[in-house]
Amino acid sequence: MSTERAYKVFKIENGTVIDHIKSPLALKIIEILHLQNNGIISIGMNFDSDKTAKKDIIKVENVYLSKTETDLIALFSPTATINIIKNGEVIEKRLLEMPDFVFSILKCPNPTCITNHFHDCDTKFEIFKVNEKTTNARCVFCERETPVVPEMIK
Amino acid sequence: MNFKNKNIISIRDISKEQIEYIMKISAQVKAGTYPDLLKNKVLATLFFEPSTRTRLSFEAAISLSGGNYIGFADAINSSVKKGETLKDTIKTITGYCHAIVIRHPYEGAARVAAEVSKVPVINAGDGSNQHPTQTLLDLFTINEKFGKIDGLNIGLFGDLKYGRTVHSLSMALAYYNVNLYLISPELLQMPSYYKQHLKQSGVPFFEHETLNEIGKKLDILYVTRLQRERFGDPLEYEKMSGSYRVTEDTLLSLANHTKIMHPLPRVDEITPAVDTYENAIYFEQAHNGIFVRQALLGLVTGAIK
Repeated sequence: MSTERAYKVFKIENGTVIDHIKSPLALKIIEILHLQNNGIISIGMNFDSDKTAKKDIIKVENVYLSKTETDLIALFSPTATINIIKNGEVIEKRLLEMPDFVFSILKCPNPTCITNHFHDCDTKFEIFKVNEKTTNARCVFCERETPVVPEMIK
Repeated sequence: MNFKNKNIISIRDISKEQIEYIMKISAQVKAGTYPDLLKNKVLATLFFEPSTRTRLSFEAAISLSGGNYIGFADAINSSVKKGETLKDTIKTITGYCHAIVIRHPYEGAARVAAEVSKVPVINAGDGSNQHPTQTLLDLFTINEKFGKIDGLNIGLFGDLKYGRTVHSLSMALAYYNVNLYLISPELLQMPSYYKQHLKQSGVPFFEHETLNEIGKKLDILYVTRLQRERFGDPLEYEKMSGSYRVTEDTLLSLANHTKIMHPLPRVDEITPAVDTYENAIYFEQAHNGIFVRQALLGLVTGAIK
């Protein structure tokens, strides 16, 4: 019942739907993908879901996100799904793939990593999937490997 | 094997074949094959954190090979104090020299330097991360003493949790067929990601808290210091440190041929009386650093093909 009502509110004609996001990461994902200034965004949070206990959903009107952009979501919510909508029809159902490297968006948790001390040293992490639940990131600079957690987002 | 312009940042980037080649060239340098190797070369030694031993070793290596060096021994008098970023410092100095040797208190500094440098960068220690030339001189010394690395029983002894040298060394030894004995207090065991790396590389390793059961098996005992500040409870440190001090009595629990190594500086973890025994090779190990650094500088500047 609640799902039906949510979809009535959020239905878009053109754009990108990011569904099955692990709650409460919707706002973080908007931040990572820099969507806040990019078209009209509808957000739903804490819906009941079969895939995750609670899910969030983001609908971005008139913006077609690239695969490189949407794959970043896999770092935090690998269960998320992407639908590209054109003229009210789903024209692409996209699966997320874990990126091999991520640039800039994560902060190194090691306080004595060089990237935390100079404004011109941006971060770069190599990504490893440990198991279904855990993804690790290894800082290319200080070489520390840590599980990826939303707190690492800059 | 082409090393010209190769950065030496981390053992992670160096293959077994490259390690073997560096050891071969280091032996030739030691035998006097390459006099005046660095003639007409200017090398920069940028020590953003003081390190007497490593800096003097590099500077001696350069001078003994006929090269010149520029640089600084700490960041106090450098442009860092004026707020210059590391990248800008490197972008400037890269135009003054044929290679850069860098020591920095922050982890990852050498790799950042390599990203913007036009000349090769050698990491002389980045915080608690890597010190690859130390590892290469350790391997060179082991190979020189035993004529091989494969088949040896190697004990890493002391602080295996925070010790940078034992981390890099264990990564490099993972290329070889060795048995590793990790001897440390429970509190200071080798971090799990290094053990995982050993496991994945198929290196048998055994964890112990004392030397007693395994001392006689060892070909090498690689000693590192327990630092008082690593222990929350000073009494715990007092209790532990005795069992991690190498004395003449310790020699009785080792084999006659066991060689004792140490990255230096030593504080009190090996008593000076041990220095006179043939087992002690740590000063020789330090002296080998010159040849390995000469070889590396020769290779990365293209002076040795």
